[in-house]
Amino acid sequence: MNARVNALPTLLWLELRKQTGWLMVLGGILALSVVVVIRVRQEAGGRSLNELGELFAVQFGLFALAAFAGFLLLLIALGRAGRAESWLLVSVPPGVTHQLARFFFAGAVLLVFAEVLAGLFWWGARGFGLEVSLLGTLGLALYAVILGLPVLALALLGQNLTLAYGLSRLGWLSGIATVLGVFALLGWFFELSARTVYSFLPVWPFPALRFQGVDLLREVPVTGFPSEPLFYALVLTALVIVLAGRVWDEVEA
Amino acid sequence: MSIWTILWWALLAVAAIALWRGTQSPTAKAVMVGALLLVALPDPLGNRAAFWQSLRENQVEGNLNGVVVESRRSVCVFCTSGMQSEHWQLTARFLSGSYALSVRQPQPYAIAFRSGRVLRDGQALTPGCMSGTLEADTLFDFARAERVNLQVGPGASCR
Amino acid sequence: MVSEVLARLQNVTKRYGSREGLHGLSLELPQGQAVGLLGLNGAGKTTALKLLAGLLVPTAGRVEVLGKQPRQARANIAFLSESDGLYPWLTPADGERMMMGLYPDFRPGRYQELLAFLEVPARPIKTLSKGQQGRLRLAMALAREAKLYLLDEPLAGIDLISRDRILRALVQEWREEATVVLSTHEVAEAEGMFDRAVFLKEGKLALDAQAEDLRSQGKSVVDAFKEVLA
Repeated sequence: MNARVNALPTLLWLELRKQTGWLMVLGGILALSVVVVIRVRQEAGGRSLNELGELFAVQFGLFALAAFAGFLLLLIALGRAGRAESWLLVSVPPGVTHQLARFFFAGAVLLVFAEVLAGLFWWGARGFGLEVSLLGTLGLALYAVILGLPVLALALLGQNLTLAYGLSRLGWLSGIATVLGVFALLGWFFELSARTVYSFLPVWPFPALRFQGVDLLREVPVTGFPSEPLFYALVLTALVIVLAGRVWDEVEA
Repeated sequence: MSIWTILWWALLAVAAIALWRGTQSPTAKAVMVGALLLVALPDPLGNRAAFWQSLRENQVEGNLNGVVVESRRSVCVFCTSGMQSEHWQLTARFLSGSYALSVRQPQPYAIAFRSGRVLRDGQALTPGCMSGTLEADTLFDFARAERVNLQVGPGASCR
Repeated sequence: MVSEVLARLQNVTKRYGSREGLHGLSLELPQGQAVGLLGLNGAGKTTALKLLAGLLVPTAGRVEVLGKQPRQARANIAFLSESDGLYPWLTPADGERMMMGLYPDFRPGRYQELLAFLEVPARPIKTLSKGQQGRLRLAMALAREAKLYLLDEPLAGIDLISRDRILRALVQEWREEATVVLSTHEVAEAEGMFDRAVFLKEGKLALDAQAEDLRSQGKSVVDAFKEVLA
């Protein structure tokens, strides 16, 4: 039997079915964010500039917290989804397809979550009289999502390494080594990015930001974020997914 | 090399051997040893301390052959500055920030940049190469300037 | 007729840390043979099946399926694991969708027939009894047109009615070109199903006998099992 199947849609559907509960939690975070924005917009009317600044800071803080919580939840969901699935190890699709399905699913969820959050933030910011470009704000969320992709891929790799060491008593040691290695890798990634920012790729522009007709970014020394870290993030992500796929293919269950 | 460094390396080596033997997966073995190597190599790109030092703002570069340089750099990419034979030179792929230069006696200078905004004592310069003489205190303001080459002192040129 | 060897274990040893799961096991599995892999719990049956499925790598020795490493041959191996549960939300219809996407040789029509024959209710797994869950997993495995079926304890912990249905489904599904290896410690239940009985004891091959030879000696598989255990 040499017929081939395109397993990716099936694996994506499996991810969707497995993760429905987590998706609802993420949806809950977004619903709470909507409540925050509505409250903030109500509060913003008729306030002095100083009070508006404080209110804006509160909104920003809450949204940062929501983004962090959502990302953390997604990482936990990704880790839990791969447990007790050793029967899938004998399925015909190669390991990299399994990893890609998990990664695409998590990446798509992260993107939608971040973009909705960014859209809500933009709506909230307009309540303060801030003129922010919507496209720029959504672009900024995309920038953050791309930077988060290696972390998603590393979580997948970590999960496969847990499978690889699951039978022996070295699970704890591999866990420590992975965590230390990931921190070292992210430090290395950060330093490489810092050393080469704005050097060979066009900038990722800041969203236009005006308040009462004044361009708030006029004096900022750069026009946007560097794109080089995104390039490294994508390369690192691809490499890690390939490694995770290979570990999946070689793992014992 | 201190005893602690040797102990740390020994610990990592033991962990590497244990993890190498702890799985049948060759890729998992390689990943774990790679992770430990990353932990073991504290400065893979080299000169980490010098690099972070170079990012510090408000750096006083000191008195260099009669030229006192004080910089307030916001962003400087692929930045080099210092004495080149008899003149002081600053090169940068991308630069935003200020350089206050004081000279004891008039010094020739040359400045080249490809794009962006450069002000000399508040007066905008046009992209390209220009040269002249610095009489006393001069303030160069760079805003998103690209391919900057500033030289002060004997033999200063845009090259 | 001498059948072609479909799978082979050559002097295979599998260690889990200091514990030995299998020791020096050699077996040849010809095409079209129904093999009973028999032994008590811990005899090495699951280890042998997982080695054939490519889920384990031998510590020493060599495993081949269709002349390749088992992982390279997995498109031709249907493996029914004893321990792995499917997703609790999975219904038989979800199972069909999933199997079609993951296995090119899955036959949906056959699957539906098997579901009907095994009387698997169209409900999520979490609402099914253990016997019904076992029958569903068996239907998923048998609906594939594989060359090697590895069935690990399909009768374990399953009620009598389910056992009967599973055994009948297995007999009905037997295809001459396929090799089936079924492990069980419920030897009496499976009596008469095998062409060949392979007995494992403490990770070693204790007896490898053709069922016909046993019968000609006036022995049942159960008798042979008792002798091996003695």
